[in-house]
Amino acid sequence: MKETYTPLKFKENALRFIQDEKRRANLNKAIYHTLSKRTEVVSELPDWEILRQRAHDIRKEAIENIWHYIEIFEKKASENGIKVIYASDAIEARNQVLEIAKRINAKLCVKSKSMVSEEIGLREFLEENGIETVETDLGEFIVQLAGEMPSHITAPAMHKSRDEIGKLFNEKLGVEFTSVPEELTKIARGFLRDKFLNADIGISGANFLVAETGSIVIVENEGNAGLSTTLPKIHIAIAGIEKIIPRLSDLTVFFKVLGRSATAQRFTSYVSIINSPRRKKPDSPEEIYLILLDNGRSQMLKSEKLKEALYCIKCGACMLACPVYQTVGGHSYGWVYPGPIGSILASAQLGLEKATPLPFASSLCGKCHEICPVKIEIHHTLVWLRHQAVELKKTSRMEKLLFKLWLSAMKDARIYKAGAKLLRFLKKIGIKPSLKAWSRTREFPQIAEKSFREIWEKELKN
Amino acid sequence: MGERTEKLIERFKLEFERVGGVFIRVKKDQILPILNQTLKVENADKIFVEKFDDELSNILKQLNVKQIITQAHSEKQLAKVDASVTGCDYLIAETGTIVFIHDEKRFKSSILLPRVHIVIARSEQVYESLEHVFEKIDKKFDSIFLVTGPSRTADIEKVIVKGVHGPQMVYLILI
Amino acid sequence: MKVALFIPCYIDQLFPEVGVATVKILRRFDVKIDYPLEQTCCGQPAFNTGYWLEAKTLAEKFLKIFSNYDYIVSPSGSCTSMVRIFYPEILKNKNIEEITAKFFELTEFLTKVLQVDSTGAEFNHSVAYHDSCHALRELGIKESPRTLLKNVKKIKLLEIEESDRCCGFGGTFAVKFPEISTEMAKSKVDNIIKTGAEFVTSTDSSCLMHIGGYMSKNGVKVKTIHIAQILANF
Repeated sequence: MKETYTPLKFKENALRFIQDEKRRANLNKAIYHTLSKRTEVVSELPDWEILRQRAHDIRKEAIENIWHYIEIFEKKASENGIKVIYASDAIEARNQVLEIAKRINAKLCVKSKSMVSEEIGLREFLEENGIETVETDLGEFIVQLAGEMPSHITAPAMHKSRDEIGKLFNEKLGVEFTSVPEELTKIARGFLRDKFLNADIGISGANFLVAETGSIVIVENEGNAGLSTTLPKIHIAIAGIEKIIPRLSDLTVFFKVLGRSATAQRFTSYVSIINSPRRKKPDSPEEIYLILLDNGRSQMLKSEKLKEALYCIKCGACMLACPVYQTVGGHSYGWVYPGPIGSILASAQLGLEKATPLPFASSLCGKCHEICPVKIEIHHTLVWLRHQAVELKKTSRMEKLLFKLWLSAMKDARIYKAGAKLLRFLKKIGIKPSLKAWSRTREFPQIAEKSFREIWEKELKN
Repeated sequence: MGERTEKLIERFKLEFERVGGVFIRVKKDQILPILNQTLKVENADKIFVEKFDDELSNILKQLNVKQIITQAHSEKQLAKVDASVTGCDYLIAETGTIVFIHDEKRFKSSILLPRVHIVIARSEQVYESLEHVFEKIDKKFDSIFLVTGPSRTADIEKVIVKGVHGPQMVYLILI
Repeated sequence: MKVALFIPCYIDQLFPEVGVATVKILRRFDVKIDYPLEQTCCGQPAFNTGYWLEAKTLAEKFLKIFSNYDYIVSPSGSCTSMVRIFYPEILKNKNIEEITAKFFELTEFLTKVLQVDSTGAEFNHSVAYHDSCHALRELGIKESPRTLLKNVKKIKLLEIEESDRCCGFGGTFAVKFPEISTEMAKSKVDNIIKTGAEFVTSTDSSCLMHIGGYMSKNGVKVKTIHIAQILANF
């Protein structure tokens, strides 16, 4: 998986997935199920569009004033006993976690779902350094056993069938084969329960960081984040700087749109709003660390276009709704964040050099923008990234030349008409221009006998 | 009980049941038999009971089970119980959510580790929405935990399975 | 009012009948139309592929050609959205939005400016309507075409399941990622076939060209027809 897991291999990955009918069918069944449920729970809220706008406005306020709110957050959280650390990139973040782990001679970590931790390759790094690190979110646990990357940001194992999972558990956990979801879940529960109770460190992400109260907010359904952040003596939360929101009350807006957008739920089973370690509470970590990760985000802040992509609350709805994602699957994108928003993030975080096919791998239909709970103009940003790619000379010379020729034809109606005349002449003598890329699977349109302007001149003008 | 509170309780019941919770409304003198029945149905022999006020504590002492733990000395103990009986701080009608403020009397792991979680609440604790609860609470809380139904996942082919890492059953006993 | 016709390059050369139909419809309502011959292309293919300098050059020329009109009408949601929505992106002129606001897609123009909901046309066939992404999502065109079609005599108007699902054209996307583009066309066509319609129509010939191209290659008997051609059938 590792060598082909890069945006540069998008085309070949996509082709492979398109030809895998079974996997495509699995994926689309899951997607359609979620999307139809989403329609149901969204239609219950007559003020959905107002909520979306409100969510957009709050995220805008937060991002436009990000350092101000982060400062407030840091002050409050620190007062409450949370140790706030900045990590400028993946390497720094990983080393910070390792340092904490080494200090307490940690042997076992439990991890709840955190896309940011995938972004920095944390788990592999810790394991390389001799610390057993177990994913506790069922979907992540499954992909960890399979040695794969998650294929979707909120439903990581969406591409796997129950049979595949059954086989996986049988092979890796040594249990009898079953493909019944309830039984598989029970197996995971038993295996992971032991890990929760014996872990030295619990690692989590954060869905939101509330400046006003210095809170770390984690949203989940399984209970694994609750356990990972309560049982072990040390809790390390890692979050991108963009997770900041101004007030506690802002959460009420996001809770309404996040669950519905991500998993078609009215509300997730659990929400942890964590302010401080131990203090009065009996079972609670003794230390809580919050690592604020930059990893390319502050660069995005400098661009008016990319800034908006930071409003993202990581619900994954854009991926579900995207006809391209539905056709090629999450792994084709080769970055932890796939689909529409992932194409932007990959370009920003990996650089256009490494992410180039992605902004172009879209028909710009705009469904992502339509479904986005915070109204990010994803499709417009993709076109802007294409422009960046052209500016930075990352497109083929042939294509550049073609467009220059095209421009000279279009700039002058006389050249345009001459060109059209030429094509008609070629057709007459039997030479048909064929674009293999098109005509392999679709009929080519025929050039008309008489163009509209000819008809206008001769018949319609008066 | 005010009409408004009645409406809120009705709404809470609807939403709570919609997410798979079991809602039981009782008078104080019915608490013991209802709890005993519930624990029997759930095959709960070993249970954890949170610290309640004296009146309720005395009632709960009489529960008909093999073992009652009232003071969890370690999470490992809590992991061995079949059910926990706890109080809560607020109920949110709009979403069927139970709000727990994690403080000295509350073990968060008692909410998550056992297979069955039974919550005892009073009618006065029902609020319409999370917005209302946020307005009410002291922002200097240590940590808050919101529970909306049992633990669940849809990670395997979108089939909903309950009781992944948290409880499989959540009961709300409203006095 | 002074109205000019903007006929996209591909309609001019490949589907002139759409332009002819557009003229017929506008004249039905006594609209005096001009067709400035210097027009060629709005620049969208360049813009969408990232060549903004080239697109800008065309955009400036384009606006000059149409500068003296009250309204500019085009039988294309995609080209109209390029002018109204994206020109302000690449041309930072002071009152650019005022200028671009004069550009209308045909069905918009009929229902919003001329305020008519019927052209008096007749079309005794079953027709499925496809929402072009640009028309729908950039311009908010959803009801106008349906209203006009519903009032066509003898027509049987059918809704396609996921009518707003992209047909897969996306301009250069169709040739840069042909396999993905074709799969998307397949999904669209499968849904069209389910309606049992004889025709599929849209505000955009680009979509129809893609859908039609796939259908011809795969022996699907459904025919494509631009909405102007239906509305001009009187």
